[in-house]
Amino acid sequence: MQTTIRFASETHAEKAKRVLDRNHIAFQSKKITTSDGCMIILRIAAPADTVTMLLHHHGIPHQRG
Amino acid sequence: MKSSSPIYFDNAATSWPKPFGVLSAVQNALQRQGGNPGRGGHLLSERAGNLVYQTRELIADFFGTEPEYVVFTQNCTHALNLALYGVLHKDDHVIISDMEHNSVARPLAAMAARGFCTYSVAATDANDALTLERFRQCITPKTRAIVCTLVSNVTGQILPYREIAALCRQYGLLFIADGAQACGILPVTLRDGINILCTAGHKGLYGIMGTGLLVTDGSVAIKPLMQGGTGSLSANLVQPDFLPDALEAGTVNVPGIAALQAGIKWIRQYGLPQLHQKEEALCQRFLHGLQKLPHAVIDRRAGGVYAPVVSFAMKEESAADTAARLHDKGFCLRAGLHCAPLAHKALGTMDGTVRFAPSVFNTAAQVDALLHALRQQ
Repeated sequence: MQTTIRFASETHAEKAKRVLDRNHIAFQSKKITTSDGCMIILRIAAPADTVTMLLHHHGIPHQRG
Repeated sequence: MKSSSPIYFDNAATSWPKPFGVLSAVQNALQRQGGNPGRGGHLLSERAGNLVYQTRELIADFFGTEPEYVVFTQNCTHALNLALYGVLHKDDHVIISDMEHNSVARPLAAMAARGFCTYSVAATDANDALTLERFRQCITPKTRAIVCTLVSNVTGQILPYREIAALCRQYGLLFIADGAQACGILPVTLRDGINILCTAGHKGLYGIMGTGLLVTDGSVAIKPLMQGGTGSLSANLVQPDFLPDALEAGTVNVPGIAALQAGIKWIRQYGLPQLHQKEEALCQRFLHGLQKLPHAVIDRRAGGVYAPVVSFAMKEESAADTAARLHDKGFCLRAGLHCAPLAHKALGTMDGTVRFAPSVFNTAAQVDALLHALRQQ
């Protein structure tokens, strides 16, 4: 099961990576250019509700997909 | 000055020397982490990005906040200007102390001169209760913030900042703190009740010049001083409104940030209380010797609480001449108003003072040598 999350800010993405690491959740990171500009994509090996719960808990702004 | 290594006692201006790890961190950043963080997706950009984030995390932990609330600036003056111009609204009233550095006094004076805001100066005293009462008496219905230094860069006096923070909470005011002389000596954290802490990277935190910090608890929106590239939401002509990107337009000082990380790690390894204890011991040794010199005048209010900084003057010799005389003998001390004319006005030392500001790298023997040099007036 995989969830894709986008971050506009590298700082938010880095914070998210550390949260996922601490919770032993695997992910892959990639930088892409979208119509909004550069985004960091994390493909996370966890269900969407787990991921969003974690990110909300740590106050990390993000977008799905 | 003789060609041998100078004896440096001007650490209130900038700390020197730096721990060896700081030098190697800068070299490593230039050699291995030379990309622009948050910009490209390549290895060097990623390495730089990791370094920057690790430093944010470390600083956030050091000062008690979240990594995204750590903003890198050029210096403490930049951070203070960012805070003041970023949070104040038209017709706001601000209270400062009479110990403020020009990095607080000048922007406020400029804003007041063009009718944007007003400010009052609370007279400090060696008696903290009296200082606090004077701040309280300055509060008006239009007061928005108290902005004050935690430690005077002229006298070393530690202001009662936790009590000032409590006063701010009581009256619903922002507390913006100048931590330039306090950070790396006192255990300052935002949990003391500070909303925005501004500090230098190159003084007590043992980083290099060209670095400063604005650290916030996230409770107040701060408008940016500059707009520009942030590496985020680049297609949008509007500056991102989330921290830290909102306040970090342009490329950050990666080697400086590497130095800051190394400096703070070194402080933690040495131990903040141990650092303070060593510097305080040097300061007490100096004061003890200075008090025995009949022609020395020590500019400290009796009964106050002090960090390891001492301002003094020698009778019948100007501060500049004293510093020059000491310089000829190999000692580096600063003389003058120390960019804090309000403090000198309050102390009655507008002719200037000589400032003794040791670091943990100074020794008792160096202090004794300085006292010996002073005796030879």
